[in-house]
Amino acid sequence: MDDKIILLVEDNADDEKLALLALKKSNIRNEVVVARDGVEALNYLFCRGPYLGRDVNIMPQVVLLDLKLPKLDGLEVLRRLRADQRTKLLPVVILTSSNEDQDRMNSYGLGANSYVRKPVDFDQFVAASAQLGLYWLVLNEAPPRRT
Amino acid sequence: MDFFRQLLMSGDFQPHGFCYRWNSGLVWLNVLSDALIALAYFTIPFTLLWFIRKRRDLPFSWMFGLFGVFIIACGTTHVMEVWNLWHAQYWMAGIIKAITAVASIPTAILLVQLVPKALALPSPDELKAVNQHLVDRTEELGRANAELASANKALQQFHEQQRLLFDRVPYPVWVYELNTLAITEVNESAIRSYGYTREEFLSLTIKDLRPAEDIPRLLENVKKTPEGAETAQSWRHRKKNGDLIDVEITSGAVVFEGRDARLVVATDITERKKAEQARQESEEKFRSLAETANDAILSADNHGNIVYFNPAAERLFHYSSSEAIGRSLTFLMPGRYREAHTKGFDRFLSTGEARVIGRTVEMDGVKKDGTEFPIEISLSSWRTREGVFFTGILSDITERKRAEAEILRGNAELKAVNQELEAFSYSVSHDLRAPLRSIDGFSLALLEDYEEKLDAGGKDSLHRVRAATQRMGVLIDDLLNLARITRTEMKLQSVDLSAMARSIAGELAKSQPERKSELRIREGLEAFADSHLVRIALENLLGNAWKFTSKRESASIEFGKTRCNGSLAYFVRDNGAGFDPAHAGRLFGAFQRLHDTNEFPGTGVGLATVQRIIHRHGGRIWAESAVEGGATFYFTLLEARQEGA
Repeated sequence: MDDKIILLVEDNADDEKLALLALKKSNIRNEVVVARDGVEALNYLFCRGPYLGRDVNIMPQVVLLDLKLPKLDGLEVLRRLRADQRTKLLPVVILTSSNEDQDRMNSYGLGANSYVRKPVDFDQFVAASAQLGLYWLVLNEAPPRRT
Repeated sequence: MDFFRQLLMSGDFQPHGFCYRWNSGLVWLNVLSDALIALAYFTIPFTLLWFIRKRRDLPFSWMFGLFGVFIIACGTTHVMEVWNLWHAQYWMAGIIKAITAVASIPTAILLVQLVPKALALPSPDELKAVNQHLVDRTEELGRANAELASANKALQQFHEQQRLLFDRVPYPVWVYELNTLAITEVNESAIRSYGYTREEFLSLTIKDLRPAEDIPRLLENVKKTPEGAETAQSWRHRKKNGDLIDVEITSGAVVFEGRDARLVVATDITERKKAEQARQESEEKFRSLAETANDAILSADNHGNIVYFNPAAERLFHYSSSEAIGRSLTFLMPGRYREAHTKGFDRFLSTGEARVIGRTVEMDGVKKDGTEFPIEISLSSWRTREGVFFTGILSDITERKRAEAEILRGNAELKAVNQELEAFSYSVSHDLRAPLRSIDGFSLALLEDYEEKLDAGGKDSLHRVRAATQRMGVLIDDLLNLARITRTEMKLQSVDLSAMARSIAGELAKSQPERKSELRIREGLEAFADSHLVRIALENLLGNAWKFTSKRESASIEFGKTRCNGSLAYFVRDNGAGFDPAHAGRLFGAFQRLHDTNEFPGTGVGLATVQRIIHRHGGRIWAESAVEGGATFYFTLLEARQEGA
């Protein structure tokens, strides 16, 4: 499980740090790649821009995607992932502050695999991160990799 | 005796044959001729006798008797001629000749006398002609008789038909004598209509058919119009039972049974008069309605010219009725409407196609001083013998237009506010919670990473920071939920409240299985409501009841329906802490709490949420309580769909 990468798309430095802390406290030691806006996330996944030399065959096991992001917001990122053959089946978990109906509707509508609200209580955040890690990195069987 | 002997004896005479010298040819010629003559002579009397026996009516039949005797005598003389050829009894022959002579002389004399008489007898031809004449006359007479009979019958039928027609005339008809005014003939219809029998009728004068007060006018009228037809005069007639009816009388002079008389036809116009009166009343009613109406009412003819303009129209347009009547409708509308109006008007008149008639439309009108104002007009058309007319009912809708504009503006503002609220909620949802997470998360990191450097006071402070942060997180969520309840679109349907309450109560009991509680939920409570929102309301109310009974040894919570303040209301009752009724006014305000958080946790949003849900359903919510006396929350849902208790 150690070679499985997590892509965390998060613009808030505090949240990034808390997420990494929570994953660490949940004993998840996998590599976490952090993209700080939507464009960066897409560049990473499609090996563009700064990630031009990246091996396109290496895809994260799961993408933790915030909705409110600079440049391209989370929903737009999700739309583009689902529109591309390479990332169409990539597991995407929306990890955000909001539980507004419209956000949930849009996320699932665009093909999100899961929707998790970040709790204010950090203990709960840690518990949620542990469950997420366990589920997506261990329990869940990823779709077959394309070559 | 000798004579007879001599008579029968030949004496000394030679037989006659001797005279013929017995020349046998001569003898036999004479014998044969005489014999044949005798035979013929003897035959004739028998024929005559047969004839007169057959024709007993024949006049002068005795003549035939004489003739018969004479011929027989003649025949006998020829027999004697034959006899004496051989026997020579000439005496005998002479005597017979003498007898013949005696018979023939009177016959001849009588015949001479008879001829004029016989000639006087008509000949058979004459008789035949006479006879034929008689036959013809008889036939003629028969025909004449038949004609007479059929003429008689026709006459009788004619009389019957005349009578029938007279009786069957569907109007009362009678004849009265001009001098005595006595009724001398009357038909069935009159008998039926007036209630008198024929005999009674024929004993009346026309005065008896009138109410007393009309008799002078009647007599005057009879005097005045002695001749000719009098047409259509209105009278009142009195029936046998005393009822007065209105009639129209048409009468004419006639001579009846040799006396001057008048033939009268009476038409009962009581119903017509009533209808006329009703029509007048109705017209009066509608006129007064139109005159007093608050709305302007005006009518126009098929040229579009105003024929009626009511007082409200005068007030609305500032034209007087006399100024408006006769002018075209178009002078009440701004120039820009006139062409369309004229087109539509002509189209309706030529094709009957109505775009405005029968509907209510909004347009503008022009007052006398030229100011325009918005009106609402409903047009109708009606057809009379004089053509099509139009009626419009107009009202000034300036106020309404302004109110509508205000509502539209208000709606737009409301929409903007709602959108703002939504954006605000969204922002709160995303952005307000993130700093809280940082505060809480890093406080924990501080607590854990710097545990040995923090004393008890520092740790306590950080715990308080975390508690406050988490509480704020809950407050934000409650606030967002409250806002969401206002925004959510409602889907009304039949909701089983009893089942819903049972499910919520079950969850509550499960959350604290150690608590002793009695949860009573009335069966069969249904409402027409939004299922999701009503569940939130019930969760809050039952949750509150559960929470505020937590200090009771045994909680008692009831959900039911009752009549309260005259209306049916659902209620949630508990035996919990209750509240001071003096503060009941603050109960449903957001973030208002009547209890200490330490005593009973909460944000003070729950009842505000419940109230908002009930209000959105068009219902009311109120509460009754006393400190430590439990509380009862009543609420109603949509009035119209309220189920029976």
